Amino acid sequence: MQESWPLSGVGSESRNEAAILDHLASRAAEGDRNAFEQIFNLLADELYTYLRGQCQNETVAEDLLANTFLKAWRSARRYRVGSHHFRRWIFAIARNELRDHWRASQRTLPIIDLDLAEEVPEARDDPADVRRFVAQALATLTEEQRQVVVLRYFSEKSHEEIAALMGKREGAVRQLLLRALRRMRKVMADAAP
Amino acid sequence: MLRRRPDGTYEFRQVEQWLALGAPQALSPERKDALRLHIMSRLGEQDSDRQLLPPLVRERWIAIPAGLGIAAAVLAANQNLQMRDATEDGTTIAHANGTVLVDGRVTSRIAPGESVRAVTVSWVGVGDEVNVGLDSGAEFRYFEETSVLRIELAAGDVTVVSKRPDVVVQAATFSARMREAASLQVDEVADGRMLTVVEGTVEVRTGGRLEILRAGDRLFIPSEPGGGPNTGGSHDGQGGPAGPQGPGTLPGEDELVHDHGGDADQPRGSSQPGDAEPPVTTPASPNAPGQPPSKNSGNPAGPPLPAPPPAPTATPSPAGDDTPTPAPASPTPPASPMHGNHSEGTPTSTPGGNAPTPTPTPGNGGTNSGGGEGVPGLPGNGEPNSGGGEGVPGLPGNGEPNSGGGKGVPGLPGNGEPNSGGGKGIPGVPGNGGANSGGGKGVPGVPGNGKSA
Repeated sequence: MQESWPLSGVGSESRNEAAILDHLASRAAEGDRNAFEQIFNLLADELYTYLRGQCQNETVAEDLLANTFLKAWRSARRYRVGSHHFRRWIFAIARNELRDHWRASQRTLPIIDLDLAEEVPEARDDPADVRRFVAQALATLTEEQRQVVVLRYFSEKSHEEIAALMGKREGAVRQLLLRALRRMRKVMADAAP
Repeated sequence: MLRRRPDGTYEFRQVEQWLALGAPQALSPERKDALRLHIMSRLGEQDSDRQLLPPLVRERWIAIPAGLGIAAAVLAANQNLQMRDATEDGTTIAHANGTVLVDGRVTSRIAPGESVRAVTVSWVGVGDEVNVGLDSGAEFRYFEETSVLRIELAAGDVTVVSKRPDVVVQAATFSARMREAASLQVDEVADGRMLTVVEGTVEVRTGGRLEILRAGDRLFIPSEPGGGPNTGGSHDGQGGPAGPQGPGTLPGEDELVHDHGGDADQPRGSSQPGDAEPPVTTPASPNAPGQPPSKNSGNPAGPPLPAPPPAPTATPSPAGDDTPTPAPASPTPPASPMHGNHSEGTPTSTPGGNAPTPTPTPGNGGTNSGGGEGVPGLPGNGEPNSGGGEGVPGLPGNGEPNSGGGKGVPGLPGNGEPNSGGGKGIPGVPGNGGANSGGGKGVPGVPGNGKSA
């Protein structure tokens, strides 16, 4: 039976979440697997959404998620305990996994089809078509713009939280999001019949 | 991210609708459990912490001062290595603290025999016990000889501070041996050098004379014979010819000027014979024949006076022929300013009269109008002997004037004619009865035995 950690009430908005994650990270750095499992329980959903919004399908997202946690475990001793930035630290690992995935995908087959004219769904009844259309529109953005859009609309993070995760100022996040939306609007308007 | 426009519409409404519809599905609990089991089963070894330095050392407030300290230590050690005094052959390398030139280049290391010229006020350390202070423009060399460190001064004001007992300071006109823990200051002044002992004892040898100076003593050493600052005046009197120089004296020997009189019992300078008459007036001759050297104390215009050779044809008059006029027949230079306390110099007595009075001794009626830059002329016998000019001075003639000239050597007295010896350096020798209008800055003329000019 794994050790339970009082995670009830711990959410993204919790002030103590950073301290709890820091404590779990310090225990994980000492080889405590139960602490690391609790970290997984806390952050798996957020990370999956973040990864899923920037890759083709669920399978790839799950693979990237597994690699992210495995690297976090391996590098747990390098995390500076007390900095209270474990969430940013593990999201940086996920971002690097995404980059590696994109580089590998670009060498094999194109994942982005910029010709959206034929991909515009006729109706909004088919969610799969809509998701594919949105994913293709996201693919036209830069990496940072795409991350901001995903975190803002898929993970439903605030500007402040996005800034903390990306290590940027809130104003920069707002600017990135505005440019991303303008870009998507243009792409979607051009693709519309 | 909806922006309301002025017309009531929203800017990104359509895009946000697409994003809301196209949001990916969340991770299902089953898949999450599967992933958790998958991940937990694959957890392996953790990487080690690769921090090579402790976090405290990496703090910049510690790392930067520590780095500066290490750099300063390296520089100090490097400079210390350069300051090593001894070379491979054992000679002492001097180190300058200031800007000095050696062979036209600025350096701080000076080897023995190298001529050092100070551009700014500098100190040169020769070993651990000798320091040489140089004013700008001063120049010197040093030589390390067997148990003696010799410092040769060339120009400028130099101060030598030594703890060694075997340091010899040399210049062209003197040699000073510094005893242990002594400090000697050598200043260039007009027409010579002024030696000042600041501390300790210094033995100064110049021209065969030995002076022992102690702390506070000063000694003036003229740079060249006959070049003293004493301005000569005229002598009216019947002084005899210049007497022979005392035995054992060397040119320039009498030039030594001390700040105190020598032994009173020792006649100084070369006095002339026949100066036994009581003096009348010697307005410009501070050193009367037969006058003890002690009477010369305090004469502020004391140039050296080489003893001139006796006039070959002059007839010395032991006593005045006519009215005694002030005419010290001695070519001995008047005393120069002296500030020393001890005078162990060799006296340059000249056989001649020993007038008991300190005033000048009258000559034989001749006139000696000394003048010029150097030493005044000596009296002639009867007729004036106008020696002078830029060349060689005139020699005394017999009844006829001898108008020799020369820069350095004055005219010698003639017989019956005035001898107007002139010249920059050495005065004329008195004639018999003639006027001697010798010239010279330093020493006044010596009266002749005849006419009175």
